[in-house]
Amino acid sequence: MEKPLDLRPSPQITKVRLEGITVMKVIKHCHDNFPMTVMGQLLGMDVDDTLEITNCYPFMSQPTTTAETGHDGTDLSSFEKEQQQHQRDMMWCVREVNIDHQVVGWYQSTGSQMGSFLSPQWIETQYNYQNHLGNIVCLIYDPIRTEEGLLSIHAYRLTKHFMELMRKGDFTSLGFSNTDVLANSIIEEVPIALHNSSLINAALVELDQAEEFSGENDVELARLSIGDKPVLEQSMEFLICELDTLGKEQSKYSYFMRNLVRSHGQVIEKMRKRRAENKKRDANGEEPLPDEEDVIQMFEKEPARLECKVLLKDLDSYVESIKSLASEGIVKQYGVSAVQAGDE
Amino acid sequence: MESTDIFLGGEDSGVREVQVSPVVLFNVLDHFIRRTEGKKRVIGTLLGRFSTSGTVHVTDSFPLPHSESGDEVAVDTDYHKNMYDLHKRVNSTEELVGWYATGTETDLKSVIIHEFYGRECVNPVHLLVDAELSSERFDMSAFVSTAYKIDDLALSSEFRSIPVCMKPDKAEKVGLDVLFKNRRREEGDLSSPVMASELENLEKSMERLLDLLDTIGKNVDAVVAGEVEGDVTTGRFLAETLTMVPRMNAADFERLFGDNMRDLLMVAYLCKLTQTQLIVAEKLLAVDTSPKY
Repeated sequence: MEKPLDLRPSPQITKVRLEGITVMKVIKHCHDNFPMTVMGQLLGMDVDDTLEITNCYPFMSQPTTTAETGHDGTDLSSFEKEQQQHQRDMMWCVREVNIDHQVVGWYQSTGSQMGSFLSPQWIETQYNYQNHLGNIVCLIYDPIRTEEGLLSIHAYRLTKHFMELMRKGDFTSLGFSNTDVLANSIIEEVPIALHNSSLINAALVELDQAEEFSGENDVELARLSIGDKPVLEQSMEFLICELDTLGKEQSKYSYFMRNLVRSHGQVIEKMRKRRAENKKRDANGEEPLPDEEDVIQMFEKEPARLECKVLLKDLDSYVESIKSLASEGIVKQYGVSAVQAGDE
Repeated sequence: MESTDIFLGGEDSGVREVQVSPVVLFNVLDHFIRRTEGKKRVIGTLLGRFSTSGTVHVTDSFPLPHSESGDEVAVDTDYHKNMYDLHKRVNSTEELVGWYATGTETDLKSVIIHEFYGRECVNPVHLLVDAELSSERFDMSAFVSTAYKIDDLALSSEFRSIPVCMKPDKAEKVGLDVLFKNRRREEGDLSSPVMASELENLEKSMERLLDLLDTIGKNVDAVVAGEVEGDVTTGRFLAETLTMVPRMNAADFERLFGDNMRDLLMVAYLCKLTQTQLIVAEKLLAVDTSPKY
């Protein structure tokens, strides 16, 4: 398990260089499938401490019937097989036409989730990638925010500390405390720089002047529209929903704590009895009963804290985006009031 | 003198216009950059859909390896089939609509390749992108093939040029706008950040708006002073714009403004409160619960 990591020759990357073509392809794929969340593979290479993402291709999306066939394992695994075959074929195809064929990560759209992506499944996938391939990032693209006029694309990866924690598989509070992982240090963002080849830059110069991107089609002016309340409202709804889940998690935890305290006395009592019996058996020359392990087992296992941590991080990002939406709203309000005041 | 010429019109293919999405242009140019050494041009398949109004929407493309020598041209049909199948699985709405090539003109080989695509779909369109910039622009031209027939006897066929335009959707525009800014930045104009936040974007937009208002204000002043002759269309447009501003009495507006502002401030306040709560919740998680005995 640890072996492939030790062989990893390249240093940890600190920044991502994203080609324009990848941005455009991700946007297209994610918007074609909106509001579904879709994923794809990122291709490129790592040069020193920079991860260059030069191309990408979409993954097959889950069949919509998954909900029905999900419990019946055979169908799901056949989809997975098909998925793997698809990826192999795709890699062969990109190699044929001289596109970089090193996997450097994957991308995911947040669909209608208002920018939320962090889930145990996400962590699992990213962990597997990072464990086997080292320098891997996940690009998160938010179609809703982009539609509002802000290109929302970020690169994330799991932090070193959290990778250690994952490897140990210890998700108790103690595990988190020992490895110093807070909700905010599960993932880290890697700064993105955009880059384009000279030829594409030349095309951009021309497009920049084109009719489709100026006048009333200018994004810069379209941003001034004041109708973004639904986005704010929906974000708030998601936030409230998540807060409810957090509340449930917390009450589950306090229930566990109560049980723990209650059973504490019983366990000590049992252990005392067991020791006394072992002493007696010892005196009689009999085999002692197994160690106190099974008694400790009586302690209820602490529920895994990972989900809770993930939830916290998710909430935090919701709050951040609502904050920026609200401040944007305030500025626009003053803009409107200026127009009205001038009208008097 | 009586004319003995026979005028033949090519058959109407029903395709009137080609709409290309920006991602296709990116794909073509990227493919051109990555072409195998010594290759003069690259070709690839265009995907999209035909609409009933005669417009072809080209929404995606993939490269296709081919080789040319002398008058011969060979297309990797296996690759084409593979890639098309793979694409179908990801996006079932897009179908084959034609092919692209780089260069400035069509030649005999284009006809051969076009025939190949003609077997794959009805009325393929051919998109020609001048990736070498020989005309100093990214000229894009589109062609459809029309057959000259007398009865059922095909005499010849011709590439007929049809108009091409680019129609980016909203998200693509936003993406491209960021790329434009990034390019200007690379050239040394550091005024706009690469990955701007909402507020930074808004600030830029406001500046832009003020700038435009300034320009129009100066123009109006000049007209009023009689220095410049007024333009009727501009005047009408200005009048229309001004009437679009809703008239409200001050008290109503005050109330509306206050309500909205209170809402937003409340949201901001609740956000801060939630964040504090989250920190507390996190601290509660950090309690050491390992059994002590």
